[in-house]
Amino acid sequence: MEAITGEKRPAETAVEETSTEVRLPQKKYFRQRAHANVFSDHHLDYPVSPAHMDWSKNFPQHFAPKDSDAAVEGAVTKDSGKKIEFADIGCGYGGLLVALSTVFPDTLMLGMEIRVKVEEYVNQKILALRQNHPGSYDNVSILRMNAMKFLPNFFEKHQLSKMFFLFPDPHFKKRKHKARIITSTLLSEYAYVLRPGGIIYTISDVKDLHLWMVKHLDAHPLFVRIPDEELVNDPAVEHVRNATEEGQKVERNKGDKYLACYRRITDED
Amino acid sequence: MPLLPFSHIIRHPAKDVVVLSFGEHLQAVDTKNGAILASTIALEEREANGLEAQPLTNTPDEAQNNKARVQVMAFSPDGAFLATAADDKIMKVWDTESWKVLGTRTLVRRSNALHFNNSGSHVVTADKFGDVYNMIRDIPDVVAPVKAADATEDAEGDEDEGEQPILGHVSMATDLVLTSDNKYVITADRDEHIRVSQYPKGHNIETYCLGHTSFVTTIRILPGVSQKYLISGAGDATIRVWEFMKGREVQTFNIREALGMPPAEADAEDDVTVFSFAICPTKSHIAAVIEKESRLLILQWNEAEAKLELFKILELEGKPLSAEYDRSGNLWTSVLPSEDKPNTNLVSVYNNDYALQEDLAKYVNTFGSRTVETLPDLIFTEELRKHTTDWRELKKAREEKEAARLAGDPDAPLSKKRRKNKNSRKIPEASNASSTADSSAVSAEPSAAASPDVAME
Repeated sequence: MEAITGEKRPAETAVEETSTEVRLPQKKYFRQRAHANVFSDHHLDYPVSPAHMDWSKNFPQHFAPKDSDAAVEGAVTKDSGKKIEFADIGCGYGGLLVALSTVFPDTLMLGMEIRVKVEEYVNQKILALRQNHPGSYDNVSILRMNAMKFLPNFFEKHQLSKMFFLFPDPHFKKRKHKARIITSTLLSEYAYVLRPGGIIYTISDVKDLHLWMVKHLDAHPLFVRIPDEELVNDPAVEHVRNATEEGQKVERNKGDKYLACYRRITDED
Repeated sequence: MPLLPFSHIIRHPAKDVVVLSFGEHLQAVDTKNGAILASTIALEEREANGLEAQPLTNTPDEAQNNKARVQVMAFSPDGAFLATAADDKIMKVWDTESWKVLGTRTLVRRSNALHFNNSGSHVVTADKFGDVYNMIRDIPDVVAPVKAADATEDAEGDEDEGEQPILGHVSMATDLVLTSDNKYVITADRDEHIRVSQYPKGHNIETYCLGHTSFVTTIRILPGVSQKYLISGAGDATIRVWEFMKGREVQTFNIREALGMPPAEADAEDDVTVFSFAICPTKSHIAAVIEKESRLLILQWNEAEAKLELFKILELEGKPLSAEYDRSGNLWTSVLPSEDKPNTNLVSVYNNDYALQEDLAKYVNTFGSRTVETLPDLIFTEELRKHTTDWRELKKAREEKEAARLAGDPDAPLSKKRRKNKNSRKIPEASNASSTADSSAVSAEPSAAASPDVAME
């Protein structure tokens, strides 16, 4: 399916699709430096609590608008009853979401990305895909968000079944390690939104970062590593390796990819 | 020259004593007769005072060299120990019999809240960077600090060294309490969150109490048999009551309404802010200290109906800094000296009927403080506020100022020196960090100079 493999290099994306289809956005217009200061006060919109969140703008086929005056065109009038179950933290250009959308068509999934232009790109891309493939891609969306600060504003306790941390910012300098997306204290927050049995997927081409993530996940009482042989049966893993733009870049450069997946357990387990 | 006012007042849990802090100093006051029992300043006047005041014995050189302001204080539940932490990140544990320092240690970051566990064996601290540490109380005088004071830049931020936090917020932690059964630790942060975690296994987050729309400044467990209600104050002009284990808000108390103030303007960046609460040990009263507001809110807590009601508005002599009930239910208040009323008493005590009790604060007002050249900024909430002005506007304003200066306007301020080398790791001063950050980075908005983010850089 071309939509899934639609993550082309910028030079190739300049010419897109047939004339009857909406053109997908071109990544070259949405470039942004790879880093953001996760500790600063960005101008972010976030709900006071999950109950305050109006998801109808992101998932118009699954959520009715909270305020009927601000109705989104084509939105349903009654919630489908589904909740978001997958979160792709720092989803970048959204390759994983687009790939998983058709693998798990009944599961709602959300990408969170702090860089505003990247968020715009993914958003436009999802809208174009929805138009070109009616009935598909209604289960994916993206939000501009600082996931290190505001996850509990969006997700209830144990709401998620999968969280993805793919090719995160390595923050090489030692003094920047606190800005890494996997830390002992942040893992406790991920464990809060993740249900027992839920899975954290991490992958990196930076061995140091991979070892760091493994060390912290190994040390955390609420996570246990999933053996590689078990991962073979997980349909998400292939896309974790290959669906993202970063993953494809590493592939092109013949770099290594280090995967580590962990199951959320409880203290009693 | 103004007298340095008292930033914090705290009650001894088992004796008729309150401890007041001002600047780097502490003093213990007998709440029965107002006598100064001990002080870290030499009480030259103590003969005139006619009382058996003894100076607190500091470890040598501390009294002279340590000018850091005491930020937080906590008594152990039996009152045998007092923990204090100052803005130089030094925590001290005092013996409250001899008023000697039993131990000092350097914390990783400045502490914003201290709390003893029930046995008094541990002190829990929540810091400026949102980390919460569960520290053993018995700290020898010379202890391997969590972080050496002169640590190199590289060592800083290496979280594998030293003690590990039991939980952390990616935000400034503003307050912390332990539940009465010590099963849970509740923490508040600058990003409106109140978090309930297991204690000491803080990795198990029970729930969040979400509802405040601005930074949370202070949280306390409400008195009563159930011990299941939490009161919180914030920068959004509300006081909220929570059934904290359920993360359920049971009441929003509107401060503007209670004080007869008009609603906040829609685009106002600041709103009425709660500084702190004082919980009365003899009746179900809570005093709420409101920033820059000379009226103290006395609230009545009705546990059976889970309802907080306005009991009284107490007019103070100035803008308040702290309030605390003593063991008999007298309310001790401290205010900022005001310019138009130089003879304002720094401390006023009100009895159980909230009538002024002039004799009790007499000694502390006469001998208790010291004059200073200028008053330091004692309003801590500035660093909690988020600056919502868009960074592009700030940059534009700066550029306009710069253009005006170049055009020969003598009043235009000099622009700050920008970093010449973008990769240079040296940032001359904290306030420069934001201007350099936004000129070199497109994606990252500058943070307020006083925010924790800058210190991180």
